[in-house]
Amino acid sequence: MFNKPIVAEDLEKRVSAKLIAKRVVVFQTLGSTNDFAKRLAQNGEGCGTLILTNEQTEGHGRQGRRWYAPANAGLWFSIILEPTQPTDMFGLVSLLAAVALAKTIERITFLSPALKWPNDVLINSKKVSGILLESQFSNNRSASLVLGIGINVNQKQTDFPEEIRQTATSLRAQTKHAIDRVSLLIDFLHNLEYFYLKFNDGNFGLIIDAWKERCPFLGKDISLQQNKDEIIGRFENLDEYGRMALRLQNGQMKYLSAGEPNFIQRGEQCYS
Amino acid sequence: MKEEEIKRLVKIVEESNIDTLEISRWGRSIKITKNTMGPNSMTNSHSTQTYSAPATALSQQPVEPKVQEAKPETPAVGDEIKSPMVGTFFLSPAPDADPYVKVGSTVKKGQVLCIIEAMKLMNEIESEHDGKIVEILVENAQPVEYNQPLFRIEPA
Repeated sequence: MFNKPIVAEDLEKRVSAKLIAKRVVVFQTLGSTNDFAKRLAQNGEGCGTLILTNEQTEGHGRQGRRWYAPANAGLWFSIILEPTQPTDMFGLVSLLAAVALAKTIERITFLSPALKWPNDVLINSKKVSGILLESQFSNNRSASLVLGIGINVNQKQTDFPEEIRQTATSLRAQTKHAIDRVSLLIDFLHNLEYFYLKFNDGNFGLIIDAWKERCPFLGKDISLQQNKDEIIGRFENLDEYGRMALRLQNGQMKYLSAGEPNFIQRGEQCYS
Repeated sequence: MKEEEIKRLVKIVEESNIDTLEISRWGRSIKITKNTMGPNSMTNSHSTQTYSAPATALSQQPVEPKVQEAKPETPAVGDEIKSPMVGTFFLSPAPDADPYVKVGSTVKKGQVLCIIEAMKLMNEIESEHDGKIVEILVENAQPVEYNQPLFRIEPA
């Protein structure tokens, strides 16, 4: 029963969020929900519109990495947002989306996801979701932000392509039972709206604290891959923009806004 | 720290008998020092922002901060497109993809020139007008600062 396609009415009847998902567009198959949402935003579509597809054929992550999104097995969607905060604070939306999803997973599955900077949600060190934000800047201004999310819900562990089977997982693979995707989405939209409104109100500390509570790697040594360079240091804190505050070996503090962290323990990489 | 907050702090220093005010928050700090020697100066970095407030001793006149005009060293062709944020500069959507633009490319207003990534937010930077790319000022995958020039474009 949980592998039925989602239709727009399923969501419209149940969604409790007032701002997020005030308009819902559902596809059976779509190339990329982010690409579609960006086009809508360019044509003036306003804040809160949700684009969801049951199957995503050209889902992508950062730097064009492919995102595996099979039919009716997960939640593949994008939301158009128009934050009222200055553009240099937009990175916090990345963190708040991960916090909202972690809270939903905690409530629905009783699992305790861990957050990996900036917005990966992990269960037992495996990635259960992908979050990618996109915006367009012209004349130093950005009108809207597209928040794209993929959540692995009902795939079996063996369904994942071999190259990601060790690093990706689904909620079903972790809980051993199938999950109603609509209930999961409704709960997530509710949490997302809560944190998004806090963000618009300037309550950044609440978002950062909620993120830090779920990151077991604060205070640990990490290596951060920035393209060809590797930076090693202690992950001490997040700054008010959500950037990673890394204490380098020479004692200097470095604030980083991009890169792939890997956590080091006892001289070995224990998780990536 | 927001510009309005910084202005408020500068005003507090100006109107007080203290010479230096230093405040730390979220791992960033701001230091405001009264400058009695020369023109007002301001530096800004990731972790520390230092401002010099104008001298207030023996003066009841409010002193407006002066903006020093930068003098270009060599005459440059075209307009600069600057980074609207701190992040990492990417010239193509994926490592194996063609770059959005090259030197000599003709671009239209609204065309994507590059991506600045920060916090897994991919910001597509669009051309502000029709023109031709005459210079790319940053290497692919390098960090960029706020307001750092990225491209030089000759308007059509």
